[in-house]
Amino acid sequence: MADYVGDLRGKSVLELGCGTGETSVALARSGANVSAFDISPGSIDVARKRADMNGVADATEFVVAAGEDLPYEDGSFDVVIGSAVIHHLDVERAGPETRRVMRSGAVAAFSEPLANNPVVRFARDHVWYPRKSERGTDVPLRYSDLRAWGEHFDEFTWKEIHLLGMAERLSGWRWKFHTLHKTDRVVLDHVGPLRSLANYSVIFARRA
Amino acid sequence: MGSEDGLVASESAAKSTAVEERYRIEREKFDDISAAHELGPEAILPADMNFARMCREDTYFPGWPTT
Repeated sequence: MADYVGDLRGKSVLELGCGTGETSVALARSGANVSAFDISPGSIDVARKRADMNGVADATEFVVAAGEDLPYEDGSFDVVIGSAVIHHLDVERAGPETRRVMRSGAVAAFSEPLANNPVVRFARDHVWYPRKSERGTDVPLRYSDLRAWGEHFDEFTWKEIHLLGMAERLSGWRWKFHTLHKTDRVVLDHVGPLRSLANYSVIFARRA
Repeated sequence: MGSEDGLVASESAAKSTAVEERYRIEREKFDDISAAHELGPEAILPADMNFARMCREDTYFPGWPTT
């Protein structure tokens, strides 16, 4: 994702659904001017404190908003970033809104859970694991959702990730299985039929 | 208002109510999560941590690989 969005110094970057602001702070540390929003006022309070603690309050602006109704002018951003946020949104409304606030030539990158693997779907619904939060209205994405999101952009692609590496989810992400991730990259690059079993995706989009 | 206009208005109102309900559920869920989120010293990123390194090291969340 970092390779796709490129050098962020001096860029106007929007983070969709910033939660408590970890990524927004990292984006600001990369030299971006960061705007970020979340539906949760409590999360935005934490994000502002986190930015202040990290000395990037001047480079970040947090607001409470919904992804389907963005409080930004047309063409405001060079880069849009989102982590596990599209699957919380109404794709039909949030897609055009995201495009609207992107400048000509702007790029967007997201990471999102996928819904294709039946074992993963069962685990999400019925298996307890650490740091598993209560389900809200979010629905992991199907390929049809990905395509619907992509229709709002001029260039669009995605890549499946986390096949064997999804095992670290069972530890609540406390353990990192780098070898499994490296194996995943090889396997998913070369064995097409297994891609639909991956539980995560990275999504890239561009506005002409 | 004609019957078709009334139907459209009714569907629109129902959709708006559903959206507001979805926002409420999501807001409550993440307000609860953030209320339990205490920012200790670990919330301060290392001096050389930035977005590129976060992606490279898959630091916080799944889906941040260098792919």
